[in-house]
Formats: sequence, C-alpha cells, structure tokens
Amino acid sequence: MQKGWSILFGVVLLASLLVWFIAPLLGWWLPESVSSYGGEVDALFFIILGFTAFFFVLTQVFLIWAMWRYPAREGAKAYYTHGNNRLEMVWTLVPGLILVFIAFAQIGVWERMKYISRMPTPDLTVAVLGRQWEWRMRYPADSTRFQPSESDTSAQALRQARLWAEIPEADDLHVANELHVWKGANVRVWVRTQDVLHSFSLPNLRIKQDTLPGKTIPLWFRAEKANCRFDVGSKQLVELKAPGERAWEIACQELCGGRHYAMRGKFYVHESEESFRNWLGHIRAQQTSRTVAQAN
Amino acid sequence: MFRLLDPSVRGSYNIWNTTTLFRASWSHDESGSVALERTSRTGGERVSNCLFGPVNRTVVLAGLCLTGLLTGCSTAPSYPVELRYPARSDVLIRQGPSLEVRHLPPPGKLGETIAAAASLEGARAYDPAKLSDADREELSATLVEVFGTPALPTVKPADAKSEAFKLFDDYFKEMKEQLDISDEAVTALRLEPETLQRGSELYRKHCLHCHGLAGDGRGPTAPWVSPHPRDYRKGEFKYISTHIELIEQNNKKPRRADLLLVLEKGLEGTSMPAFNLLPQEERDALASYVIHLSLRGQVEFDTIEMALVNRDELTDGSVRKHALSTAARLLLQYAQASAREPTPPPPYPYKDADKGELAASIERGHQLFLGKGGCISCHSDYGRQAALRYDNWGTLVKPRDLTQPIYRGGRRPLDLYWRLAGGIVPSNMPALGKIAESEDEQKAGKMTASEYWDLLNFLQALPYPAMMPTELRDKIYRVDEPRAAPGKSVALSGSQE
Repeated sequence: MQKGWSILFGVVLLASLLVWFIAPLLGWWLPESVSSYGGEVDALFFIILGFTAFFFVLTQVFLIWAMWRYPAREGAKAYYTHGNNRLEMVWTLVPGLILVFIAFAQIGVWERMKYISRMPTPDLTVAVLGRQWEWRMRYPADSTRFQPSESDTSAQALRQARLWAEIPEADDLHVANELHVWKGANVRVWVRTQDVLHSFSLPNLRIKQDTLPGKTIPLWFRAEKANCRFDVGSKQLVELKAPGERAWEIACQELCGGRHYAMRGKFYVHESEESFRNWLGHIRAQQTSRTVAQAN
Repeated sequence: MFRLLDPSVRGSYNIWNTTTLFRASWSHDESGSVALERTSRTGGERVSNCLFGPVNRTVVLAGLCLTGLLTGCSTAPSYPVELRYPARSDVLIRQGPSLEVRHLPPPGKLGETIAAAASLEGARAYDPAKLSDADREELSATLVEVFGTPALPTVKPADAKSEAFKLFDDYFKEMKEQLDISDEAVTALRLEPETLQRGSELYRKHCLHCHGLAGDGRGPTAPWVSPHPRDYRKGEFKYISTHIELIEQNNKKPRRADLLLVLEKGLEGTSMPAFNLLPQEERDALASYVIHLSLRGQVEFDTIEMALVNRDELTDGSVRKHALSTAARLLLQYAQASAREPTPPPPYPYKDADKGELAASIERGHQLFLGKGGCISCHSDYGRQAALRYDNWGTLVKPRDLTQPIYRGGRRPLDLYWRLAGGIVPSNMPALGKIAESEDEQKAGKMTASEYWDLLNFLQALPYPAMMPTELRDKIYRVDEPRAAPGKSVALSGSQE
C-alpha cells in the first residue's frame, strides 16, 4: 500500500473531473435561469467555479505527485522544513488578491439585486410568510397600490408596502405553497418568518433570501419566461412545460427542522398579466364564496 | 447493536458525524409515553487517528460499510407486516372537565395533562386498565379481524368465510336499510384495502410524527406543539360541513370533503401545514386512512366504555358483537355524512356594493355577538381575554381571539357559516342551528337568515379595524389615554429635591 494512497487520490481526482464534465449532459446542473439578472449571477458562479477548479486540480496533482515520489522507504529519514518567507507570501497574496477581485466583481450585481433603492417600481407585491413547514403567500387585492404616485413618494410607498406585509388586510388573498407572477412583471416580495430561520429561494431566478425572525425583508425579480396560463373556462392552471422539463420550485435553503425537505412550493409564471389576473380572480371568488357552488 | 426491523421501534433517526455514530429510536410503552433510546458508537476520533495504521484498516472499512447500511436501510415505505396497532391504554375521556383555566400546561406534558384532567370536576373518564383480561383479548382479536394491521389496514373483516364477516355483514345490512344509505355512498368513501394501504404508507411518512401510529395524536413531536395534534380515536373532528340535520340527529362525522380540505389548505394558526403539493391521489389515500384510524379508534373507545360502564347494553351481550356492530354503524355514519350535501347557507340578503348596508349589518352583527348569539360568554373581550376550557379530548383549548385575522377552519364565509350553524362539536362551541322558520322560533332564540349574515359580516370585519364603522372600531379597539409619566417620587434617582 506504499503507493496505493497516491493511486487512490488519483482515481478520486479523475472521477471528480469526469463527473464535472458529464454532469451538465446528465442534467445535474443549475436549473434553467429565467430571471432578468440570472445571467449575471451565473457569470459570477462560473468565475468562482473556475478559480476553485484550477486550484483544486493544482493542489491535487501536487499531492498525488508527492505521495508517489516520496513514499516511506526502509532506512530513509523524513526531512522537515519550515519557514520560507517567499513561499508564504505567495500563498497568502495570491488568494488575497483573488478574494479582492471577487469582492469587486460581484458588487454591481449585488447592488442591482439587493439594494432597496435600486429595485424597480413593483408591478406586483406579494407577502410571503415562512413557517415550519410551508410557505404562505398573500396578495393585495390591488397589486398596483404600492407604486409611487404624485401624491405618494417612493419612500412612503415603501413604508406602506412594508406595513401591509406585516399587517394583513381584509381583502388580501391567501394561497399556500404557490407563488404566481406573470412574465415580465417586476415583482416585489416581502419575506417574513413565523418561527425559525428559513431561506426563501427561487432557484430558477437565482434569488435566495434568509428570513429572520422579526424582520420583513424585500427582494425583487423579473421572470423572463412563462411556464403556465390560467384557463378561465375550466378554472384550471395549464402548465406550459416541455416534456421532461422539471417544475419550477420554491425551496427553503436554510435547515429549519425535521421536515425542512418538505418546505417547498411551486413557482408559476403566467404568460400574460391577463392570465394572472384571471387566476387571482378565481382565488378571490373561492375565498369569498358564500355558497357551495361558488367555492368550486 | 442496531435494531433495524424491530416491530416495536416506531421511528428512528440515523445520526452520524465525524466523532460519533449513533442511532436514536423511540417507542411507545404501555402507558403511551414515549421512550427514547440511543445506541451509540463513539471512538471515531481514534479511527481517524489510526487511519494509516495497517491494523485498523478493517475497522475503517467496516465503519464505512456500516454507515452505508444504516443510512440506506430505513426507507421502507410500508410498516413491518407483523406490527400491530397498540391496544389502548391511556384514559378514555368521554367529557372534559367543566373548569375554566388561565394558563396552558407546560410543553412536553400532553399525556400527563390529559391523565390529570380525568379526575377533575365535571370530567367523565374511564380507565381501560379496568377491563377484564378476557374482554381485552376478545376486543383486540376483533379489532384485528375488522381493521387489520398498519401494513394491511381494512375497515371490515377481510375473510368472507369468517364468522366475523357474517356478523358484521348482518349488522351492516340491517342498519343500512334502517338509515336508507346507498351502496354508492359507501363506495364513495374509498375505503378499499388498496387505497388504505397506500394511505398507510403515506401516513407513516407525512403524519405519524405528530398524529401517532394509532392516530392517537401522540407521535414523537406531539407533546411539543400547541395546539396538540388531533387524536382521531374519538371519531370527532372540529371543522365539518356535515348537514345540520344530521348533526342534530347525532351524526357528527365529518364529510370526506372536509378531511380533504384540511389536507389541502392546512389549518392556519396550528402546526398543521397545507399538503397541497401532494398529488390529489395521495391526499385521497390519506383521507381514507384517517377515516380508517378514526373508525378503529372509536370502535375501541365505545366498546371499552360500554363494557366498563354498562355491560348489560353491549350488543347481544358480547364485547365482540358490540365491536362489530359499532364498526358497521360508524362506517354507515361516515357514508351518510359524506353522501349528503353540506348545509346550504341562506342566500346573502344584501347588495355587495352598498357600503352603508354593510356597515349597518356589521353593527347589527356586533349586537348579536353580545346578545342573541351568546358568543361573548366564551370569547370574552372578543376573545382577547378568553379563559381556556377543556375540550372533549381532555386538553385545553382557547376560544379564539377573534381580533386576530387567523381563521383555523378556513376564512371563506362558507366555512364561517358552517362553524356557526353546526358549532365546533368536540370543543363544545354550541351550534346556532337551523334558520328560524317562524316568528315563534325566532323569539325562542333561533337565528334568521339575515341575522346569520350580520354576524358573519361582523366576524369578518372584526380582525380588520379598517373595515369597521368608526364608532364600533373605537369601542372595540379603544386606545387608552396615554399614561401619565411616572412620578418623580420613584426612588430611582435618589435625589432629595
């Protein structure tokens, strides 16, 4: 087993590289990006993946070579060394510079995604409440009401929206585990949690936001591709999916308890605003039903 | 060291980290309490320190294999075939104590609280331990014949040649004729063995950890959630749309659609989440299995109670026959409740667009809340200062704080109507009943159609101050005058003028 370790590590390295290259072909890859800023997020991901891949291969190859070249030998004494300033400077400065580069490279994307002041005027506002173990969505009866107007500056509109996200109103519409928006809409989501830490994430939109107890946090996105429409006649949602295509999901990305895995949801992007409004009308009709016939 | 398929193990976790490898498992003992055992294997540290030593290589490999085995083996979808439903050993509460209480018991004490409630004033409770051994064996055997095992659940004796089947069938046919229930009504309950088996697998995965193996509401997580998970074994459910005439005839079974609605929407304000991501077929199977558990539990409950309290009234004088006839009767009650349309609400008497009319209706609803409806007697201060009361399971419930916009049983006006008209049976919220058909009935306290809608409009506006007429809002949500600043005499500063 003298050189066995070297071979074992070599096999692991080769297997990693193999998986790496065939993963996209097998569909083990990021879900389809449908967000307006998804491309930018993915670009950052690839930059970081490139750096880590390069250094992973570099260090592994060195490790395997060293294990092959210097196994234990009868009578040979190990040689110890420490203290090489030049070497230490190199392996400190190079990663340091890379980190600084990444910090500057991401700052623009972060600003466009996460700064409240940079978020576009919302076409649709949704309040999302996470709890163990489900997502509860709440839509305002009039989704345009949190847009700034002449009498209402953007700061005031923001305050109102935050207040609404925290205190429900009588005509709000409630839906569990399903987030509906329409293609091209600038959507503002206010996330909260009822109990522990959760993380509201839409993998297809490359957005993820932790929900912190006591905080009401805004995020925004614009989906550029549709995956459903609402059929008024049958009152059914029709999914526009290519065969074999995976459903778009909401996922909790913060381990939140025993059934964390069950804390998922469906993400629907309607093909038009009209389709979305029809769906919302259907939800309203159900929620305000005063007869059994209306409830169906 | 590890018991992988021991039938007494109800559930288990595999927990593995770098220094310890252990398996935690829990099981219920006879008293219904949960025992947690942990078999542990430590010494991972030693393993990693001697990674390069030739002697312990086998240990490392064995450890790796073991890890693979343990993490891969606990995913069997159905229960072990030899596993039986446990015989009921916890106290039977027919009626909870008639006390008002201010504080909830501490978390983790569900079983103890119920056991303690049995001896409180006004409670009617029976100890199943007092059942004679012969009766207990007879009952257990009959229950297995009728309801099968967790892996192979049924709702009637499976073997068509058995004596139990014939007895059950006779009772069933006789009562079916009496109650005039069609075959379709029974098949529509979807209690065939295949659906129940599917339901049992899904229940084990999604529901057991709160609702327990026998549907006793005492799964491993149950003592830690408030409100406590439902104990199906009493055959009572809170949010039902069963026709009010059936409720008045003492058939308080839920409609199948009610169980499905709870599964789809969850119960806001409780730990019951929405299962709307499960396909319809799976929710159907789960609803069927819940009916199965509830039937089994109630047959057990009713038979033990009858054997202890009133032996002479056991059907045909035998525990076995009583259990069989009760099983047939309850099954038919479910069929009857589901086959009948839900109570239709009276037509809405007002115009939707008329704001003034709505405001007046809300005002009248407020008066009904305080007066004729009698709501305020339990929902003190609109529920904000309501005292806790015992429900039919012997657990404490709080009459809802109606100023909070959380509607456990659904927020549709329809749901609220069913709640008012039929009451919430197991928590003793009284039913307002049928609509008054004459003036005499009205004077006797029955609600008219418009009074129902006034009360409903008020209840829907109550949690949203903006919806209420100003005067009423001030009355209910009055903010006290700002309190005077604390006097200087408070001896904090220590100054002496």
